[in-house]
Parts: sequence; structure tokens; C-alpha cells
Amino acid sequence: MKINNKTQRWSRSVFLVLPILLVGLLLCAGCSNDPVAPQDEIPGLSAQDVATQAGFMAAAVTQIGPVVIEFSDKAGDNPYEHVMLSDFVTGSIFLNYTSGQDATPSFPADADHVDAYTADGAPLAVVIAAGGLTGTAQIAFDVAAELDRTGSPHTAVINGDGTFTSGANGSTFVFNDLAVVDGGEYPVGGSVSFINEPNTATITYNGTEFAVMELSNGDSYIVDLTTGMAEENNGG
Amino acid sequence: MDCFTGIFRSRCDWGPGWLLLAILVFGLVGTTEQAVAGELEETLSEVTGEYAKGYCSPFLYSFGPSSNSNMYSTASIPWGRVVFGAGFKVMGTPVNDADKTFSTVISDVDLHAYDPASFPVGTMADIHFSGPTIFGDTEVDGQIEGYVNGISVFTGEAISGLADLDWMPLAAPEFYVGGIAGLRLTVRYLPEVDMGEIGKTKYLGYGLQWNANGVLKNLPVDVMAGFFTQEIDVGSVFETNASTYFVGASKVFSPVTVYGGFAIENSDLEVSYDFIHPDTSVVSPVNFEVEGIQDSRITLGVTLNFMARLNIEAGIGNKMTTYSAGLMFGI
Repeated sequence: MKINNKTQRWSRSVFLVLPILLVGLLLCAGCSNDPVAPQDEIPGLSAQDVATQAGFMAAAVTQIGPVVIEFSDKAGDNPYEHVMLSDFVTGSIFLNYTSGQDATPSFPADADHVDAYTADGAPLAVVIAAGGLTGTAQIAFDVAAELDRTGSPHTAVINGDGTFTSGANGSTFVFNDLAVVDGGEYPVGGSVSFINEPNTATITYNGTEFAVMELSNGDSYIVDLTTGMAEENNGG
Repeated sequence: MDCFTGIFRSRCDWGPGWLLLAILVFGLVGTTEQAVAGELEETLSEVTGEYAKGYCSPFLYSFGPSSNSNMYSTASIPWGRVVFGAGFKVMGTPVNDADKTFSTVISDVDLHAYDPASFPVGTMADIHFSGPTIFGDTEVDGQIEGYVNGISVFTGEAISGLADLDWMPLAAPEFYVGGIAGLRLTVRYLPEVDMGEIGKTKYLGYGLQWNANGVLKNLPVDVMAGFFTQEIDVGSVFETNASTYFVGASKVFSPVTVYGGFAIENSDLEVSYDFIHPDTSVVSPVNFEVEGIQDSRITLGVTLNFMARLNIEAGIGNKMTTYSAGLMFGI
């Protein structure tokens, strides 16, 4: 096979360029390969999951909410610390009581307003026991309550928001005029919206053990506030 | 560029990898591989197969491209003069920073099957495995989380990285003999080492190359075609197979030879070990196979012929880029 001089010159040129190309590749191509390790995201919560979590959140609220009106410590200073030690909810709630339009710090019994919150990095721990399983979640919040001590029993109306986290799953919630009564077992009015996009569950309290939960997709549930279990509301 | 130049600085942490390489190259194969394979098997025994797939993935997918590297350093093979030689090859596949960690989710798992004592029958859950990979942080433990209806029902610690490496290293001794009718036989071989409970470790690869210049006369370059197939077993944990079929060309600009080529290749890796349940100590055999993701590459390399033959090479594959070097002594 005959190769002419032109081809030989061309070939020689190509091979003279190759070392430069090689160095260039080594230096410029970098040494990073495309990643191969799996990087799966935890699946988003289904509407059913949101309903389940919102049910437990609703039950936790029955223990957390009344604290703002029932707390009566006179020994400490603002903010007061209330330590929750039930089987269901544990942790510290901080309460900053004030009174009057100028928000003068005051004793709980004299206050008409309280800011209630959990400390940064120290949410309340919720132990969820259902169906033979024990789960865990953390609740953090920053809410404000208007206190009414003119009548008996005393009442409070709470607004504010917070987060509900279980493992890597995080949701938010909003208190909408949640009405609690001193000594009352369950909130007597208002609602809590539990939000995990694209689903929102709204639990409306009525002073009984059973609250109605409506999901943004139209599903309806009845929540047993003593257990947190949400049952589909087939009766509508 | 950072990482390449970083080879010469301390920021590219080759620590245990270099140690492994050095010892492999200088022949203390048995001791080191026993330690590495033993540690790996002990580590994997703490996790299920699903976890191990994610944990080992940077190793599993870079092993094939690494082992299929540096198949030749010249396309020149004599047609009537016997040549032979021996030396070693080192290969490295860069590990992407993202491959230092992994995250795997398996859905709709019946937890009762995993832990009958703790979970009722039919407890369906999503399980999330996450943490450092085999080349990730050796000080950080992985995590296993189980979710039922999105609620965390259990968490557990898993295993840390085995060696925090930026490169997946591999080394192999190589021997060749040829020079008749343009043929050259190449062998990569490490003697079989019995490592007791861990199993046997062995490395055997062989291939044939044929230079076409004896037929295609007056070509301005040397041209060659060949294949190489190899089997590498690391204890009883890893059994790997890799094959490559290639064509190459080279040109001598004494004392330098420039070479390049194209290859198609494949690899697979089988992982076997015993998972020991942490609570019950029940032993469950784990076995899975991973197909390599790379199937072709372009090779560019330079060989310096001075006393010995020293070559460096970049293998730019369709999935991974591999860098390698070789030092061969012989005629």
C-alpha cells in the first residue's frame, strides 16, 4: 500500500499535535467524573401521610395550647420556662407574659398577652405510638396568645406558626385563632393548618375529643385528639 | 484541573490508596489485600445489600474503567524479533465529590421481614439509607431511617467510609512476550492468596495484540488491534470481570512515542458477603451484581523510551475519564 508524501506530512503533523492535545486534556479536562452514587430524595408526603401527621399534630396541640393560659408560676422572671413531661410531649416552652398596650412585662396571672415559643435548636419532642409502632417528631413554634381573664374560666386565643419535623420530613403549621380554656381538655374553637406542599390539612376544633380535618384535596377525616389517629370521614 | 494538579499537593488525599498501591506494586500483596478485604467484609456485614449498593457505588462503577486502562503503550510490535518484558501499571479514576456520600430510598418495605420482634406483619415503610460512601468520610457514620406515613419510626447508625479517597486506585503487574507475526501476548497476574475465612484473592488478565504493519506496509504510523480480558477477585467479597477490545496507533519521535486509540469495553462486578443482623445476629447472605456503565473510550498517551518504557495515558470514556501510568522493563 502506497502512501503519498502529502499524507505522510499530514500524519506527522497530527502526531506532533497529539502530545499538546494530551497535555491539554490532562490539564484542562479536569479530573472530575460524573457522579455515580445514588442521590435519592426522600419521597414527598402523600395526602394520606399529611393526614396522618396532621392528626398527631392536632393531638399535640391539645397539650401545648392550654399552657399559655394555665401557666401560673410567680417565682421566675420573663421569659418563664414551662417543662412538658408527658408521655406524648416533652421539652421546654418559653413564655413571655406582658400586659397593657405598652407590653409591660408581668406575672402570668396579670398578663393579657403572652409570646410562647420553643428555643432555637430545642424543639418539643413528640412520641407517636400507633398501631404497634413508635415514631418520633419535633415541634418548634413561635406563637402569640391574647389572654382573657375577665370571665371564668379564663381563655386564650392563639395565633402563630411553627414547624413539625419527623426525620427528614418537614412540614409547617399555622394556628388560626385557636381558642383554649383554662382547665379545658380540648380547644374550643379555631383551627390549625398543617402544610406540606401541595397538601394542606386544616383541623377545626370544637371542644370535643373529635375534631374535623379537611384536606386541600377534598378528603375529610375525624381526628381522635386523645390518640392523634385520623379516620377517614366517610359520613362527610 | 484542581484535582490533577492537586496530585502533587497534599489536598488530594491519596493516603490509604497510595499505601495500597505502593504495597501492591512492591509485592506485599497478601498482607495488604487481606487487611483491606477483611476490613471491607467486616464493614459490609453491618449493612444490608441495598445499603451496600449505594455505599460501594463509586468503587463498583470505577473499577471497570480503571482495570481496562493502560492496555498498551505503543502499537509497534515486531514481526520477526522476539520481545519480552515486565513491569507494572497504575491506574486512577477520579472520584467526584458528590460520590463521597450517597442517599438511597427503598419504598414499600415490610419492616416485619427485617425485624419481626419490633414490627407487626404488614408494616409497610420507606427506608432511607444515607451517609458516606466507601470513599467518603471515615469519621462519619451513615444513617438508616424508616418512615411509616412519613413519620420516622426508627433510626440507626450505619457504617463510615472505608478510605477517604479522591481517586479510585488500582495497580497491576504486567508481563508481555511477542514479536512473531506481529503478535504480542500480555498478561496481568498476581498469585492467588488464600486469606482464610475471607477467601482467595487473585488477579488474572490476558490479551493479545496484533500489529498490522506487516500487512499494511508503508503506513506512516504503527497500527494495532487487540483485546484484553481480566478477572480480579478480592477475597470472597468482590468478583470482577472486565474486557476491552481496542485499536491503536503510535508514532515514534525518539525517544518519545505518541499513541492513541479507541476501545469498546465492558465490566461487571459481583458482591457477596454475609449480613449479620445487629439485634438477632442472624446471618443473611447478600449477593448482587453490578454492570459497568462504561462501554467505550478514546485513549491518548505518551511513552518515554529511555532505559525502560515509562508511559502516561488518559482514557476518556463515554462515562468516566481514567488516568494511568506504566513502567515496563524489557526488550
